[in-house]
Amino acid sequence: MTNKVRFEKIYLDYYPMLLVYGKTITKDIPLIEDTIQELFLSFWQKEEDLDAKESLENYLIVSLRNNLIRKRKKTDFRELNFDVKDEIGLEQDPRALKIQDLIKQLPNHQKEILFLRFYKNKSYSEISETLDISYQVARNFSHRAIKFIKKNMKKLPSVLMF
Amino acid sequence: MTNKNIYTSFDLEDFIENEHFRNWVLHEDHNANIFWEKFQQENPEKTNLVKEAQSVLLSLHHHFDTEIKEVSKDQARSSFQEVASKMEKRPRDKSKRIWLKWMAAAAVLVGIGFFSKALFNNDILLKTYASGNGERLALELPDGSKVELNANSELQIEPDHWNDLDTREVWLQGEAFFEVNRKSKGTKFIVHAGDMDVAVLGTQFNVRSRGEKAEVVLAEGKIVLELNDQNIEMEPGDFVSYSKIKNKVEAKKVKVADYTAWKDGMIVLNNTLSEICKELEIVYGTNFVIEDEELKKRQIQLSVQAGNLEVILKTLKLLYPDEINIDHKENQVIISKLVSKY
Repeated sequence: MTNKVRFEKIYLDYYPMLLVYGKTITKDIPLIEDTIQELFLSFWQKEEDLDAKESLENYLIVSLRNNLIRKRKKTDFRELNFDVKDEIGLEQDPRALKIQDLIKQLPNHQKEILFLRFYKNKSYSEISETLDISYQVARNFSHRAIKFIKKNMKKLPSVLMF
Repeated sequence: MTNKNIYTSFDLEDFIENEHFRNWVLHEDHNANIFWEKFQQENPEKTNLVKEAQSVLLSLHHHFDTEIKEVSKDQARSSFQEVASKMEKRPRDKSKRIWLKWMAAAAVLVGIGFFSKALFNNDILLKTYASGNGERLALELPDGSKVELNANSELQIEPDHWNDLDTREVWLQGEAFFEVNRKSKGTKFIVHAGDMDVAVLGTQFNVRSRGEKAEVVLAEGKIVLELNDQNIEMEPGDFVSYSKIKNKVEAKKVKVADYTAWKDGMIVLNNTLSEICKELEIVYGTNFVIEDEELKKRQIQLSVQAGNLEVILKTLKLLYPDEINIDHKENQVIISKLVSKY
């Protein structure tokens, strides 16, 4: 059984990642916030021993995803709020900055795969299990996203320069 | 080092999918470092590709990393405060019954899992319509709405989310003209175009999302644009362009026909030569070079039939027979000033 101090620590550790991951599923940030809170509350009520989970991170990701997908349907048109994000540090390679702008343009389900594959370093078989899609579909989504980035980065003036 | 041979045939995607490569770029692994430095020295023609792959991988990583780091500790703490206050009110349930309930729920979830897996395996999760160089496509969406896709554009939909009650959503890269059917249940239709979302019930409009700018021209009805924190309501004849990077919104009244002429196979040129060439570049996928500063700024007004690029170039040449020279070779068009013979 996880005590309250430990519970809080886990919450604070995983909250930012879950919030960002949730944004690849819905643009409704209050909904993501609510869902994360509800998720942890239900763990608390059920006295789930979070420390005993084999892969806590994966468990949290899958639980958040299932809950968000279920609620997202009910909330109909709330998808519209889009994330207010701009400015990136100036010390960065201007080329990298542009590629990031391309990433932001990708449809959410592609961003989600990129998050799991290239940020969380998961294999495609793990991803296909998490998202409950076939291995091939997972690969296709990723391929399409990379293709989009590749195609468009060629058009960026700074990439053409070398 | 026998692997080296494999790597010389890698493309960008192969590189970023390769674990060894990722370890080098993301974790600065020492051994990998030596290997990849050496690889680049021995294969100088691959250096650009390696750098591009590195750039894409770092950008991907950085994109999510920045977002996560932007969630402040205070935000996390105040979120936990809300959870903590509810924890007091909701005592832990000691009864065994709750497990039965959860087991039932799990069984239902497993059922749903099987069902959706069967669906997803058919690869119908996402449908892509794409047009190539100089190509236009007329599409009909599952709800009967009509879309005309301009050249070099891509439209994606999720076919299993087009039931009566669903919000209809499409993702656009490029340019398209929409005739959206109004649904009796009043469900919305959203075009995700770069940084802009266009929300409508039923109407006609043109959306263009190429590069950093997204533009909308409304032909009929009413639409609402949602940009960051502001909503813009558009009337017929309104043009709005939005660049998130520059945080710039431009709104004006325009002649709708100029913006939708491409549908009827017309290209309306009413701009500087350099802007016009950019447009032709997009439509025909051909590279344009203008070798004269004065020519670049030259204002040109002309409507031409889209189709053969050669014909368009001839028309352009006819406008200034004594002034410009157009050289079209394969994928490159060079426009230069005609040197006077005197």
